[in-house]
Amino acid sequence: MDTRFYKWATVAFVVILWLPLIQRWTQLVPESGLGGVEVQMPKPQLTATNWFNGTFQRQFEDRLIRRIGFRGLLVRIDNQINYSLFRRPSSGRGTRVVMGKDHWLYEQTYIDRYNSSKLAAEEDNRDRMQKLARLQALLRQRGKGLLVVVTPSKAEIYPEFMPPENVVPGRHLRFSDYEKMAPLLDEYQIPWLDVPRFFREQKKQSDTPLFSKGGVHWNYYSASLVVTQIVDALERQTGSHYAQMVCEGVRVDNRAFGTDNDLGDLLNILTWTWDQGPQVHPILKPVPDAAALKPRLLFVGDSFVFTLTYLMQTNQLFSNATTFYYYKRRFEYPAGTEAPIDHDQLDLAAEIDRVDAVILEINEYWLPKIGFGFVEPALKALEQTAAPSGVPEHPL
Amino acid sequence: MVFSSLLFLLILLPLTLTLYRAVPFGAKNWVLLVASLIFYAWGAPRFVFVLGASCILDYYIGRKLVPTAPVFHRRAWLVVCLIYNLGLLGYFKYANFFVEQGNRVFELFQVHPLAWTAVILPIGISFFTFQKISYLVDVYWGHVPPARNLRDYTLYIVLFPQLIAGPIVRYHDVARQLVARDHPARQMFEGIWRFAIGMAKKVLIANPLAEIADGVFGAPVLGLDPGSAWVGLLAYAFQIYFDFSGYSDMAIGLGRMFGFEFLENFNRPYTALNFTDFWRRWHISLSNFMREYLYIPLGGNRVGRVRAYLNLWLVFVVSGFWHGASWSFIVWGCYHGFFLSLDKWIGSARLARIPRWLALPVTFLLVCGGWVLFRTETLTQAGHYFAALAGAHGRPIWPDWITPRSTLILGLAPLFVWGPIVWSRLSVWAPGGNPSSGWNAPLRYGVAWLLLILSAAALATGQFNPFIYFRF
Repeated sequence: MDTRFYKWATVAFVVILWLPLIQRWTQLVPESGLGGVEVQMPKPQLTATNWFNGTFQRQFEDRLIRRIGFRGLLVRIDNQINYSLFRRPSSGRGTRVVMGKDHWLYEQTYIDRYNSSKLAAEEDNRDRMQKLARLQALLRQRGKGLLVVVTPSKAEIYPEFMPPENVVPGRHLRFSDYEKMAPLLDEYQIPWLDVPRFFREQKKQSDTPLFSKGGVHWNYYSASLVVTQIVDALERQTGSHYAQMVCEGVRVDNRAFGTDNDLGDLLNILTWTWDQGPQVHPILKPVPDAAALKPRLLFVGDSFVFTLTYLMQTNQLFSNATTFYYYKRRFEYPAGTEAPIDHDQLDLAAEIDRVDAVILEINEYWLPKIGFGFVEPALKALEQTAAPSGVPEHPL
Repeated sequence: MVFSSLLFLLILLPLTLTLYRAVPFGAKNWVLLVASLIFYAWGAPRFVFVLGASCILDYYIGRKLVPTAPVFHRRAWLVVCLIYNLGLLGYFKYANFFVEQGNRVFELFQVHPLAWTAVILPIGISFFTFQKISYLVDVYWGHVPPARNLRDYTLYIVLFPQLIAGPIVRYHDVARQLVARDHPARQMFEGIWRFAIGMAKKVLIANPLAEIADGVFGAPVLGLDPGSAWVGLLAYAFQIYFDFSGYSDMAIGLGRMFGFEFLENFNRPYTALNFTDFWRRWHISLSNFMREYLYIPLGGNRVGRVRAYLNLWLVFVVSGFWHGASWSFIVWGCYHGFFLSLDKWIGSARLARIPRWLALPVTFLLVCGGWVLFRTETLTQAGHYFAALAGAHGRPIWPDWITPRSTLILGLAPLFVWGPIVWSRLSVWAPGGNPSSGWNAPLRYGVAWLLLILSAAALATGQFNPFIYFRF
C-alpha cells in the first residue's frame, strides 16, 4: 500500500479523535439533545483533598462525558442497534422503558406494579383515610376545598399492548391497593375522582385513545376530560362558579406533543425510525364567562399534574397555581418558576391560606403514598395555626 | 484510568498523540512519561508517589548491579531491591489476606483478633512489580546495561500502554526501543487497527458477556440450575478471554502508535490441545516471565523428574497467588500445575497422538473448570458451583437480566474464538496479520473506525442513565 495512505490515515485518526472535544468547545455542528433528565454532578473543585480521594477525577470525568461533543449521536447509535436488532429500548439505570405490541411503550416500574401482589396493610390505609378526612375538615373550616384525583396507569387501561412475557400469569386474581383503598375513600367521604374507572368506561364507549403509544401519562385529550371533572368537583365543594373550558373536538395527526411521547423521548434513537402512531390532540377553548371565578390552586402530586396544569393554564382556568411535585420541588404558575422545597422554611398554613383548594393527585399504583409526605405536616400546620378571620366555611 | 473509557479515548489519547508527534525525538520520552504519570495518578493519586520513589531507588541501585561491580555487593543490592519491591507488593496486595488468615487462627485459639484497616490495592502493582524485577535481574545478569537515565527507566515502568494490565514487558525486550525507535506511518496504522480490535473485544464482546457472567456468579449458588451454571461459566470463559486479550491488543496497538513493539500476549488460547499448549497461548508474557525469572532459576527441566514437577507446581502456585490474594487463586494455580505436570508425565509425543477433535474440547472444558475457581469468591462457593454444573440444584430458568444483546454475543463468541481455525487462511484479519494488498488497508481502516465508533457509542450509553422527569 502507498505510504501516503498510511500517513493520511494516521493524521485523520488523530484529527477525528479531536472532533468531539472541538465540537464541545465550538458547537460547530448543531446537535439535538438527549431525552430524559440525569442526576447532576457538581462542578469539580480541584483541591488537594478532592484530588487525593478521587472526588475530583470522578466529577471531572462525569461532567466531561456529559458535555462531550456528539454524545447524543453516540448514544442514539447504540440505542438504535438495541432497538432495531432486539426491539429493546435501553435507557440505562434510570427510567426503564419496555416496548410492547405495536410499538406501545410502558415504563418498567408500572409493569412491575401491575404484576405486584404486595398490598399496603389495612390499618395503615385506614390511618391514611382518617388523616385525609381530618385534613378535609380543617380545610373546610378555612373555606378551602380538597379533592383527591386518582390517576390511571397505562398498564391497567391498555394491558393488551403489554409484552406477554412481562405479564405475570393470574395477575387479575389478586387485589390491588386501588381496589382496597377506593371503598375506603368513599367510606371516609373523601371527595375524590376515580379516573381509572372513568377511563375504563370511556374506553368501552369510544375508540379515541386515552394514552398515546409513546407516553407514560394520559394524553391531552383524556386529561382535558379530567380537568372538566376537577372544575365541576371544586364548584360543588366550594359553591363557587369557576371558569370552564370546552372541547370542540379532536385533531388526529402523527406529531407527538409534550408528555405524549415522554417515554418515546427516552428511547433516544435516531428519530426517523420511531413510529409514534396517531396522536390525538383536543381542540380546547375557554368558555367565555365574565362572571366565572378563576381559583387559586395547590396541587400535590407526581408528573400527571403537569398535564393538568398545562391544560388549565392555557385555557385560563386558574388565576395562579402551585405544584408540590412529589412534595420535593415546587412549580409556580403562571410565573413558570421551579425550585426545591425547603421543608424547614415552608410555611404550609400560609401556603394553604393563599389558595382556594388543595388537589392531591396520586396514581392508582401509589395510592398508599398519597400526598408524598404532605398530609402530616399540613395537618400539623393547620392545627397549630388559626384560620384567618372572616373566612366562611365552604358549604359542603 | 482505563483505555476503554471516553476520557482516555477522546481526551488523553488525542492529546498525547498530538504532542508526541509534534515534539522532536529528544522530547518524545518526556511526553510519554508525563502522559503515563497522569494516566496512573488519575486512578491512584497517592500511590503514584510510592511508585515514583521506588523507581528512583531502583534506578540508582540498578547502576550498582552491573557485572563490573563486586559480586558480593551486586548480590546484596539485588536482594535489597527484590525485598523492597516484593515487600511493596506483599503489603499492598497480600497484607489483608494474611491478616485475615492470621485472625482465623487466633479465633481458633480464642486469641483477640488483630485490629487492621484494610489496605487498598494500587492498580497495576502486580504487573509493574514484575517489570521492575525484570529490569533488576536483567541488569544483574548482564543481559542489558542499566537504563541510561532515570527518565528512561521510569518510562519503562510507567509507560501507560502496558502499565496497569500488561503485557509484562521484559526490560531486555524494550531496552533499545527506549533509546531509539522509528515511527513509520505503517506502524502507526497497524497500531490503530490493533487498538480498535482490542477496544471492540473489550467493549462490544466482553462487556455484554460480563452481564451474563456477573448475573450467574452473583446469584445464590445453591439455587443455581445446571443450564444457568453452564451458560454463566461459558460466558465467563469467553468474557475473560476477550476482556484480557482485548486489553492486551489495545496495549500493543497503543505501543505501536508510539513506536514500541511489545511481544504478543495471546495466541488463540482456546484452540490449545493441552495445558502446556494453553500456557504457550494464554498470557504469554506472564508465562515468559515465570519461566525466565522463576522456573529456570529453580532448575527448570535440568533437575530430576520429581524436582521438575515440584518446580512446575511452585511456579503455578506463585502464578495463582499473583493473580489474587485468596485461597481460590492458590487452588487455581495448583489446578493448572497439576494438569501441566500431567502433560509432562504423559509426554509430548503421546499428547500429540490424541486426536484434535478430542484434545481441544477436553482442554477447553478443563480450563473452564479452572475458571470456576478463578471467578468464585471462596472455595466453598466453587464447590457448590461445580455441584450446580453437575445438576445438583434447581430447575432451569432464564433470568430477565440476560439481555438479547448479550445472548447474541454469547452465541457468536464461539465463532470468534474457534472460527479462525476454519478461516485461518484469511489471516489478514487476525490481530497479528500483516496484509499488504491494495484494498486491504483502506478496508481495515474503515472497519477500525466502525469498531471504534460502535465502542464509543456503547461506552457513551453505558454512562447515560436518564430519568423521565427530574424527581430528586
